[in-house]
Amino acid sequence: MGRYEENYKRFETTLNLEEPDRVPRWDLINNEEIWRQLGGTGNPLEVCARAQRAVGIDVSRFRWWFTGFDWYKSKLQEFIRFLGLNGEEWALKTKGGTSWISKRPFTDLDGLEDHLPQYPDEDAWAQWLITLYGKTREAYKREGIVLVGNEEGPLTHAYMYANTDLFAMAIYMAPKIVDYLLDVFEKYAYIHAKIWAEHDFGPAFFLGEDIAFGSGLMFSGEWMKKHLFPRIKRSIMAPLKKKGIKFIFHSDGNMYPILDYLVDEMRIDAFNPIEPAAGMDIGVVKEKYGDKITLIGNIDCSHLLPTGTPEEVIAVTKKTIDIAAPGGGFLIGSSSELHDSVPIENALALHQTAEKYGRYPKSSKTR
Amino acid sequence: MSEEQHLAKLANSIVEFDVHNVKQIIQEALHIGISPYKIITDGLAKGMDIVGQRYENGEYFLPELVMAGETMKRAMNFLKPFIKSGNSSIKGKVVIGTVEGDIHNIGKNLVVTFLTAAGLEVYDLGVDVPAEKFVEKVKETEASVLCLSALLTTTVTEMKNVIEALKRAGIRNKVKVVVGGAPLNEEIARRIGADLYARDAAQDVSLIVDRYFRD
Repeated sequence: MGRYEENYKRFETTLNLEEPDRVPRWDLINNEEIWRQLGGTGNPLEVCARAQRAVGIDVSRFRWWFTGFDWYKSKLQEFIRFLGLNGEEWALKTKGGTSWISKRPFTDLDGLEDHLPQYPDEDAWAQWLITLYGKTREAYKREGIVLVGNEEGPLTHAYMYANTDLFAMAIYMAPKIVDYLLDVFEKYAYIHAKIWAEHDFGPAFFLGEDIAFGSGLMFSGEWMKKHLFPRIKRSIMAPLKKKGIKFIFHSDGNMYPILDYLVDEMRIDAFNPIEPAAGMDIGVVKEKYGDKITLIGNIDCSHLLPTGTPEEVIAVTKKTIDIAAPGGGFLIGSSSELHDSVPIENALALHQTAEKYGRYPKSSKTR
Repeated sequence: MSEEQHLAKLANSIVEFDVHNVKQIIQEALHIGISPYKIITDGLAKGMDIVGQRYENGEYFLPELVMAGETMKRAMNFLKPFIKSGNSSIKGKVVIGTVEGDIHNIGKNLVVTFLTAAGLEVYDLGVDVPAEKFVEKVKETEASVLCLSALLTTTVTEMKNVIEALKRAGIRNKVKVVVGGAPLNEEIARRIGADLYARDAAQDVSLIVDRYFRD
């Protein structure tokens, strides 16, 4: 069996809440230094795949497609291309490898109402995804990495489009705009999930829906149960579940207030990233939900990975494996991504330690 | 309606985010002779305190904070001409902004609202603010406190750049630097050379006011 087949099996076994031969390593590199040093030059997709292989990543997602390594640029290009945005009215600013929307064609609710996105052009969006994932899966496969489908959730897209504070205000002052935005981005994610499922691109799909801060939920649980989660269930989870594809829910922040609901009512299959900087304790989450969902991530990329020593990273990695690996259902990785502030030696410390120390069987004595 | 009832109504206009009627409610209060200062401190700011408590207790969330902030902003804009002749015991100037490379403004806007409600003169430079702009504004206004906000891990280093720029301009010892935002903690704040780490808007504005502006 080659590296890809081994990783595929390891990943599937983990998603089925069983113990594979070792803890699979999950991550995403968004770090120019690591790309340059370990990925070489050339096509961004292949650079990324090579760098991820060199770091030791087994399973990953990928979403830069129009403009190289820049998530925001790619996202804006997508919206221009598939949701009818006028590219001249929007602008990005970039510094130090990070981009952000610096210009929108609106600053208030009236302006937003005049500049709503169109519903996605289904054929064009679907065709693009098929091409993209075909190429990405091949590039990843050559490096033995399993690809996971990756989309932002309807709420994240909606508040990103509108600007978070304007969106928050619209919930009270313009609820029809909120409904419309959520409808558009639900359709957008639906097409994506459907394409992933129909074309059998991989065993899991990752939905990034950031709904929490370090202090707790951004939006009330009641509001999300009415306006958000039914959309995710019917439009994103349903086409995936029909094909037996596992659904990974991602949100940064302190998710304790809504985890019961996500696990027991929504029936998510996996949860990422269990952000330690937001007070999420992998031991508590493993104890409570470890027999129901796979846990992914947890190595702190806010403080530990950017500013800790390799020795500190190694110690935390070992401790996390001791806590979360027994019984299976755990992929180790950073608590979001290996971003520009993470030194290469810490990225390697995490993933090399996981390879050496993550071998099963694991005793649950430390739990 | 008694003065107490008017003040309660003012507080409630913030708690219930009555954006459309808050000016009318203020006008009524002014009409019966309640001072602008009292309208802010015993009415509107009390409302913000309740909003902050409800947020802390998990009863309010981001939309409610933003709506309360918007209501407060409209109230403060309406009251601005009156505040200048007010008699707040808290006096001072604060420059605030989100550092370059970061466009997150919700936490920063809340701090602005709370600082303004406390009676301070606040110069909000907005988001994505270069270090030189902070230095320029602190020099120009002679503000004694500079508040820096960031949400991204990658922009914490930019806070350090601002502090270095203050040093280069020779004004570091004239201004206290308060930093806040998700990627920070006390240890990081200390390491980048800040004077104070602000954990969240509602609690830490009181800390800023108590530490740097109370006689």
